[in-house]
Amino acid sequence: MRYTFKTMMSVKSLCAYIGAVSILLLVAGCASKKAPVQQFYTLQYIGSNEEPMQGSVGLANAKIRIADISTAAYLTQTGIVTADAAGLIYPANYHLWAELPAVAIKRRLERCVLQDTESQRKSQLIQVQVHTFQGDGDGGVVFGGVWTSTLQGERSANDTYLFEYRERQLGDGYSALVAALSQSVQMLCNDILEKT
Amino acid sequence: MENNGQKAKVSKRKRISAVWLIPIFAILVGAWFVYTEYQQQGNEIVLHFQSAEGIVAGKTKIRYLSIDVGEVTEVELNESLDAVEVRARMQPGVMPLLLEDTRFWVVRPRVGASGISGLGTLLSGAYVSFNTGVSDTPMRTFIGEEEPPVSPASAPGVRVRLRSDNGSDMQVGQPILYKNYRVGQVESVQFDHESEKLMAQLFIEAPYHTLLNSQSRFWNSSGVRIKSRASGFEIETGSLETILSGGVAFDIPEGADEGMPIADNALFDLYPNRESINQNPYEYAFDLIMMYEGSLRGLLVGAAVEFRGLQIGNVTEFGFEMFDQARLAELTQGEEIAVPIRLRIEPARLVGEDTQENIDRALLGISDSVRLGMRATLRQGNLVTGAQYVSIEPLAGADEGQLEQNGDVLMIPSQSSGIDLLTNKFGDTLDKLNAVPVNDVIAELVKTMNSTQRTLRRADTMLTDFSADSTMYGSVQESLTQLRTTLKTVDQLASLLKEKPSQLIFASPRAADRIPRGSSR
Repeated sequence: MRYTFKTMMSVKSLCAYIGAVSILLLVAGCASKKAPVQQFYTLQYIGSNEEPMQGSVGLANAKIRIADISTAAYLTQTGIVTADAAGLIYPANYHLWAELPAVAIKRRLERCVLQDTESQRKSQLIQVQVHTFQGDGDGGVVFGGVWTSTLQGERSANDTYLFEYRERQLGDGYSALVAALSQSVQMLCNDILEKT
Repeated sequence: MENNGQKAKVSKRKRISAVWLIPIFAILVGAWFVYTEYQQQGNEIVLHFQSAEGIVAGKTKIRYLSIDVGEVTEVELNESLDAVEVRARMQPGVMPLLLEDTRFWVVRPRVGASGISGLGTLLSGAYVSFNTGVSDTPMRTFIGEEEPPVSPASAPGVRVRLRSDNGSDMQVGQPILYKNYRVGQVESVQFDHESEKLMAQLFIEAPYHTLLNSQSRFWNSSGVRIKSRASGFEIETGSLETILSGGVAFDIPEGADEGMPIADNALFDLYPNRESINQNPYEYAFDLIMMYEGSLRGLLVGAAVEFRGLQIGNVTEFGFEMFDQARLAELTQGEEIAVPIRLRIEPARLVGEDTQENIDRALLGISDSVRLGMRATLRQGNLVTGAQYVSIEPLAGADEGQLEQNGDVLMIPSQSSGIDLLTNKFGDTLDKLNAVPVNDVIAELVKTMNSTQRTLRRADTMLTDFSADSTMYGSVQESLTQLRTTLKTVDQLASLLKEKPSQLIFASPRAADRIPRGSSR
């Protein structure tokens, strides 16, 4: 008997909770309006001579390796950033990177430099610090920062380069912005291959 | 012609018949034969032996230098019936050899320490031999020797007597050595029951007898002697012959001068070994008693007494039995139990001549040195054997002392050596080490090492996992980055809720994104 009574009390409490939550959801639904749909972007492969990655690339053959990329604080979020002429930045709320920019840039650079396994250059580690990676509010994009190369077995970098690539955005919208940023990343890859 | 009618007397003259010449001639011839036979028989001698073994009348010959010079004619018991009387005929030509000290013996096959002899008599039978003497008195009756004499009485050389306390030290025929070269032999040995000593007669052949003098000392060189001394092990052997059959050697003690020539039949004492003849070569010496409180393990009678590394004497005896209990208590003066050690000091070993004046000077010098801190102590002479010797030397920290005349003994102060103390401390340390549970400690150590090895392997694996190139390292870095992003989002949310708590339920719509414009060019 006592067991039956307790069970009946539990059912009553659960119904009360469900009712209260339904009322709240109804009120909230009446109070809100329809939000825009979020869109996610990835960096594009721009290299003309890149072939789809096949097989594995051993570390011994990888002459250039990309270390983890550090980015400015405002880039440690997934909203695509644009700036205006005054330098104000605006992270997008509905146009987002599919992954953090640091991860996306590293992935893109690795894909680029690992194509080179036959050259006679010495093995090096590339470290990149990204200061700007956004639309410049003037019809273009800017990708800037510092990269260093360290010979294998060495403790300190043997070369340090400042870089800032500006590309024109061909067309309006975030897709064109992402394409321009992808092109700037490709330019960085080309420079790395050339200077190391 | 007148004829007086006398008739002449005719007498018939008697004449000896010539026939008689024949018997006369026969008699003369017979007498000649008798005389010749008598001459050929020679003179008769009488020999007395303990036994007639191998002697046969009419057959056994008497030989001298392996030439038959006589023959046994009769063998019979003597009057007392306890020995054998042998009569023999000797050729007349050898009679001058039969003198008072001529010795006869029976040659039979013999096997002894000096070798095997007389093998030729196995077929020919025993014979009697002799060697001549040097006496001027002719003799016809002799006491035969039971053993062949080792050297003839007429051989040039010198005979001396040797006295020993040990009845087995010498045997007839054993060699006498000088610097391991055979110069003579033991001729006879007998035990004197009155003095209870073994008396032996030695014969030293010429010209080596001149090596023997009044300073010479004989020692037993039998076999091989291995002795542990403070300076190490010492092996002492004679020739191969003495190793097998024993022997006696003689020399003068080290450092002693040549003595005077000796007369025949001089008496010497036999020392047990070569070392012992050098023990007390000096006539003038004095004894010191040291009462030692340390361990005497390794100390032997005869151990050296040294002064700054130079031997000045020997330990002659030690032990509690040197004195009775009352005397011992008097010497120790009721303090720590100390063992008395008697030291024989021979100052002439170090300096000066072997005179009483040198003794007096040495006592004075030692007395002064003891006053300034010199002490007698025991030192380790050989780490392997543990042999010790007595060292008289100045010891650091020693108080002023003095030679003390206590009754009939002269006592020198002693002190336990530093090595003795060090040895005791080292022994204590070893005891403590022995008490350490080494096996348990080692077992724990092995466990610890195994655990450490496992830990190091895991650490190595982890370090490999966390190297900059590893997958885990990248994964952790990515996770940290995502965590940082999440925290930033939470922070933004917290700020938002702080400003607008109703935002949790009534969320305000986000502003629309700015549309980036492309280049107009």
